[in-house]
Amino acid sequence: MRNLIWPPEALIWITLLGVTLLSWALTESTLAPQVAATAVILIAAFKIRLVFVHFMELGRSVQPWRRIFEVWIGLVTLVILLGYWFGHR
Amino acid sequence: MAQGLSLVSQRPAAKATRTEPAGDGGVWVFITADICMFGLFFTIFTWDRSHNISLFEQSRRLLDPNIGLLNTIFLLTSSWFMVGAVHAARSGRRRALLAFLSLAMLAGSGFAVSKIIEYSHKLQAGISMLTNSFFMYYFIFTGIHYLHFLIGMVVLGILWSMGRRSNLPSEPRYLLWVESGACYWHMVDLLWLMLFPLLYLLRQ
Repeated sequence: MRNLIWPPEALIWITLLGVTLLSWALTESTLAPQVAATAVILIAAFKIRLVFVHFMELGRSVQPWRRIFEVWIGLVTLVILLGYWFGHR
Repeated sequence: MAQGLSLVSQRPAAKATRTEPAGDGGVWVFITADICMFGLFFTIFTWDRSHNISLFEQSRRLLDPNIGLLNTIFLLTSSWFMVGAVHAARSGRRRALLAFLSLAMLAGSGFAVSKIIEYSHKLQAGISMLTNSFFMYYFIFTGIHYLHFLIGMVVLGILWSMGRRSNLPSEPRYLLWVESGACYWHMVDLLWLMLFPLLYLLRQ
């Protein structure tokens, strides 16, 4: 019965909500915009990893899909951060 | 709780030991192609933004990050309920499966409504995809994402409807559909997790 109202991976869900609130708060914080923006993108990448590892169940042995997703999020994060910093140079 | 609907699968191994992904392999090919397409969208947006920073920042300020936050909470919660649905299906708990699918659709409906409200606010303010390049990206990217979302809601509805039947045509096959639908649904969530900061939170 407990599992009917409380699905597994609750800690992951709470973490996802927590870091989402953090990134939302960072946007209007007094932090330097470049620092806040970089943190926000890194937090998004962290959240995406949590989703594909825990919700989509891409464990280390689920290949090549796990590798594809790791490369994808790595490239997307790199491109966005490089583009952001290039634009603000 | 278990009602004799033996959905218990022979196939899924424990998360740590499995070597095959949950769901159908074809769905993973589709998901991979889709995330690559969105990866291209993010790259184009980032490139254009780096050349029009003032315009993109002024336009971004016209978006409401509170609605973006609400959208994210709805999708994350819906995704989490879908995790519950997969686990319920694997353990043959049909009532729990239907409850989690219903909750996933309920949370998804929150996203649907808040996104429609957001779109209508923008249109009422005279903002459309023709306003400038930022809003062109905003409407196209979130519109394509919304289309993915609607397809996902239909899939959840079909899974719920199938789950209600007492005699499923092939039980392991139904579990495969639940897992595949869940992976697609998580992809919809995952893509939004990057769209949200890129459009709403990346300040100058």
